[in-house]
Amino acid sequence: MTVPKRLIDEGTAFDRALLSAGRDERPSGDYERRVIAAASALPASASASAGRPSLLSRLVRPQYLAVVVAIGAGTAFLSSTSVPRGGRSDAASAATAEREVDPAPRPTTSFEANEGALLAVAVVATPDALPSAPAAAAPRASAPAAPPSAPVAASAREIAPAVASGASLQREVELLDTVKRSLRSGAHADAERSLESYDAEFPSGTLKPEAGFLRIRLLLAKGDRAKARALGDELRTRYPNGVHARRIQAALAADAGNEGQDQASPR
Amino acid sequence: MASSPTVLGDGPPATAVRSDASVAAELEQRKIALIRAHLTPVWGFLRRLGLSPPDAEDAGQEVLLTAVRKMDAILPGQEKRFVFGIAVRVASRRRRSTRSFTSRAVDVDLDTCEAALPSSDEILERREALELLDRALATLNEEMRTVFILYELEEMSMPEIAEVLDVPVGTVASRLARARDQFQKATRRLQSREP
Repeated sequence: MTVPKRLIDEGTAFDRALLSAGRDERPSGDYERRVIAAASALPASASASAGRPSLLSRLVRPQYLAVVVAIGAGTAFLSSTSVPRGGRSDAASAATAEREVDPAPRPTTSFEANEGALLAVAVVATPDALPSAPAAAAPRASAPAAPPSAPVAASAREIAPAVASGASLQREVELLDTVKRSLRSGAHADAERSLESYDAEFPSGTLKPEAGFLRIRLLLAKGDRAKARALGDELRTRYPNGVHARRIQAALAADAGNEGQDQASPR
Repeated sequence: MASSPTVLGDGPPATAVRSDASVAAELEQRKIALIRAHLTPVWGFLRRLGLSPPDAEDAGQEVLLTAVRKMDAILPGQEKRFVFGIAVRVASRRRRSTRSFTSRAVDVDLDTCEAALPSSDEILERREALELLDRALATLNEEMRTVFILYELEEMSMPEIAEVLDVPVGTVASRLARARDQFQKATRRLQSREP
């Protein structure tokens, strides 16, 4: 059996670029911390202590169990009224995965039946206390505790210092996506309005070159070739390298080709 | 008879408590090590299978929590195979039961822009590359796509993939050959359309 060389090493430059982009993509910054927090809230596994009384079983005494059940029931009620994206997997997904993925089902105890709800409480209460929390997460420790039903991921994102720039970038992307959609559907006036909104909101936006490229596309779509070329020249002078310059050049060249065809074709 | 402090009350002997604490600490470290080693690769695997970034986060957490619960069943050196085996099943179930696998799957989560904000060019290039990659992967069926990602991106060997998927190595080889052929055809088509 031949073992092929991997495309990421031996493929075309284009294949390698795409595969590298996929390999390098990363989840959000606090993802690992949240998952570790959720895992830390899990009780010791049953098989870890087989053959001797487990720490868990000794902790679960009637007086504790009453508290546990009360918290579990309360949290289960709260969870049923709010299913946060990040928080969902903290509790419910573990139990769901246990049922649906577990290759070797095992008997469940009454404690474990309440476990999903318990996890939601534990995760909200404890993540910043973890010794393994990365340094970047430290400022979050002083944040006010979220209510038990609040999404863990959402609350973490609200506090994270990097989110302000991320959110504003998200807004930039949304506005420019609106421009693209309008251009695709031929709604030039809508595209223009969105571009004006972008310019007003982000006079020094991170995606300014992309906005410029879209304005060129809009001008070309409206048939205003002179302005499109003038803007193209200006942008290529300002951003001579990179993908925008190539895209502007390609758009103007394609338009020039169309113009040539228009002039050459008999009417 | 003099009573020892360790037998006061109905608690366990102090030596047993110390032992349990030590076991619990070791277990905690193993959990954390497992998550740190596999969470991001599993997230990436789920992304390339077509989940949006937030859905991949949910599913990835589900995978790792399941693995943590079953940690004692994992043989040393088999962690990756075990975790990805769970990931394949979680992804397959989500594909059947949710709408995670939609066009949202090619969205780029801007929260992934860590540390210094990348330049406009970098964002655009990254976004476009990921969109093109996902478009090329979308031309593969689920079986071929899974094998392709495990081999090309997770750099698993064919015997390892066979164990993860519980299929013969020959089946993996056949799926991989077809997947590579189809992927390369797709990227050639996409490249010819790029300016």
